Amino acid sequence: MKARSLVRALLGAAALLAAKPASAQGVDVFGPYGGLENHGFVRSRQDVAFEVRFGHYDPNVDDGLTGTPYKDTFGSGHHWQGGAELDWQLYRRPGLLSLGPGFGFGYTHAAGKAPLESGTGVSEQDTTLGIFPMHLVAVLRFDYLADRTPIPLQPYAKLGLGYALWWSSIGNETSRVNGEAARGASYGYVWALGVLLRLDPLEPSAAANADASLGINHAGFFIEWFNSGLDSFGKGMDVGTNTWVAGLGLEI
Amino acid sequence: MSLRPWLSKALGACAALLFTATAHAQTVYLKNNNEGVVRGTSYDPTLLQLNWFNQANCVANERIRFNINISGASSVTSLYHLEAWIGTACDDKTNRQATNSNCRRIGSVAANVEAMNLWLRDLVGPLSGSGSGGTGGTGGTGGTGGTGGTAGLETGGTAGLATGGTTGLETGGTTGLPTGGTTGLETGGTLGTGGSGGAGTGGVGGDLATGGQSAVAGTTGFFAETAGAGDEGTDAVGGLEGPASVEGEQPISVCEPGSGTVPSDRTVFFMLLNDDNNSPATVAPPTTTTPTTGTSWVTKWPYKYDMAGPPAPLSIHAGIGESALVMKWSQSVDAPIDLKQYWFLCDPPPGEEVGAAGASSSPPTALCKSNAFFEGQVPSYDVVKKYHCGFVQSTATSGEASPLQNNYTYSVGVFSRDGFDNPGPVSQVVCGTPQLVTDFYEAYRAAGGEGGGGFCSIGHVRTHALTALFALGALGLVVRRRTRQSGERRSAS
Repeated sequence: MKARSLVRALLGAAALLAAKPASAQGVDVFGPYGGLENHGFVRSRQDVAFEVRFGHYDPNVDDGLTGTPYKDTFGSGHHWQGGAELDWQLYRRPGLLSLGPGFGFGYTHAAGKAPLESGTGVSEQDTTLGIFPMHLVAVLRFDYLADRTPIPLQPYAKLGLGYALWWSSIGNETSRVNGEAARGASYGYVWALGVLLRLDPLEPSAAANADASLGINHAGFFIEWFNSGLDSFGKGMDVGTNTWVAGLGLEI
Repeated sequence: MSLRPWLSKALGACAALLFTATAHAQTVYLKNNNEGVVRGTSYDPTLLQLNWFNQANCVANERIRFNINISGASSVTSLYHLEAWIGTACDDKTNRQATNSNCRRIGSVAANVEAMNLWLRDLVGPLSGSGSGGTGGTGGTGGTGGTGGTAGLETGGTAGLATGGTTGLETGGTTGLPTGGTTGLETGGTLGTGGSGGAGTGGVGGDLATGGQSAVAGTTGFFAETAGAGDEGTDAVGGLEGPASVEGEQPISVCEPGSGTVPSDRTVFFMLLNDDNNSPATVAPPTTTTPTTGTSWVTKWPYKYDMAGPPAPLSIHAGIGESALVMKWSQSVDAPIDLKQYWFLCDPPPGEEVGAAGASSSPPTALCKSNAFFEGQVPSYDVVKKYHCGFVQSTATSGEASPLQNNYTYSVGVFSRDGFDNPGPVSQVVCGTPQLVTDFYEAYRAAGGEGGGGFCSIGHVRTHALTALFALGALGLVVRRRTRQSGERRSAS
């Protein structure tokens, strides 16, 4: 029962996140109509996928340097990111796969106390690094398992370009070295492999309602291994990361 | 059929209309123009909300201008007096005639003016204890005071204050002080008790006091009044005697640093009186003795004042930063809900090149104190202007005092301001010494990192990235088009 309640709650949340004009189908006191009354109801048109993403973000800043400034300043603990992604399912073979471009972004922030230059301790002034990573990827989603078998899993793969803005501060000011402001942009590659667990089979009627009233075709949890190399091919700060990302995914 | 009845009725109606019109034309009434308060000098409209007076703009001898409409009085311009009274129940003739203790006259003009200038201190000064100049002083002498007033009676005038003050202290030292005297001055509350004791004699003393001197005592009366010492209000009897006599000569006691008051509401009443305003018993409005809608011999102007800055922040700490001190504090539990900002004061002042000619030659902070601002004292405008080194909004409990010079010890204090820019007293003054630090970016560059220089610092590379993005987009469109074409072909077949 708890699982079903959770599914209902998630579908409700999904409905709030993705309000879309309803199709001709609907649900009334007698149940679904407009096609949904048939078992194996007709889904509404599906065009995009939307993800709300959370995960660690530990940038590879120290890679290739003679020291470990990131670790020394911000520690070895994890830092978190939050973000979102919108995929356009440009090409779609229902029951088999979809392919299209996707754009995502996130934000992460690390802060630590700046050490005294004298080496006698740390100050009480914060030094920070903020990163705003973005990616434009091609997304391939395999629907076969979820649509044609009882296994509600949708594997997917992403590959594309990444671009990140970053900035660093000391106290209330932007840090500077030799007059150069601690602001920059790095680019590189991005790829990810993941799987989405559809929640529809756990609560078919709620899923049907969400589709009929809001056009949400599928909702579920996803987890992916996200890999980005954002160092401008050795010319900039490497603010890419290799990490697990999880979240809520909707197909609309 | 005779026309007489109709003619008679018609004539009667015309007469009635004519009478009404005539009566209306003769109606003289006051109207609040509702234009807010226009301050005479030193007025910065960006710092003050209408009808609010605050300490930040509390300037001694400042005039407040009220615009008043006197309608229907064009033909009788010199026959009336416009009076302003302050209090809580001054809007009827009875109270005025009885010189109700809650009412005090604060101004009078005998011309057909449409504006009236009043003194700020009269608006925010004490009602009881008669903050209106001299009488207020006497009232203040009040509790400790009562004796002082009597002494004033004996010696009279200015000298009376001195003598009275001394006498008051001497005699009050035994009687007055324990119950009201010094304790009352500090806490404000107890003095009320003393004040009531001094009411009678204080009132008498008010008659003789020259105002200017007794206004000093008026401060005392003010404290008592804010503490709710209602009995002292009887001194206001004397208030009739002295109000405007010292205009422009005294500072506003409540504007003095440290003279905190709580936010309060007041109403100023403007009354139009007959020329014979020296005989209150005969005073009557020109056309009616009872204010009615639209025609009234009195108009009200409610306003508020808040001269109290927030209490000083607590637990002050100054941490090391580069060219800055990282200030941390905790908010007093007594902080008002309209707490607005925390301000930092640094000594030597920020931007001053320490050690330079004319600048501070050595840290004055060996004992961790400043010669410019002091714990528990409200900083003056000039001190804030010179020594402030940053501020943060009231939601913060930390912030940076900057720009400061590294390796130099500064004395720093924190004070807060409320929503009306009233500054509060300075916190404990602490010391801190900014030092050089190694921030992340410096460490990154020292380790061989090459990034940075601005978001647009990779222009030539960005071109490649944009090219790739365009290529990806074009690929998408091609795929989309082919998909549609194949779908159409399947539909056709």
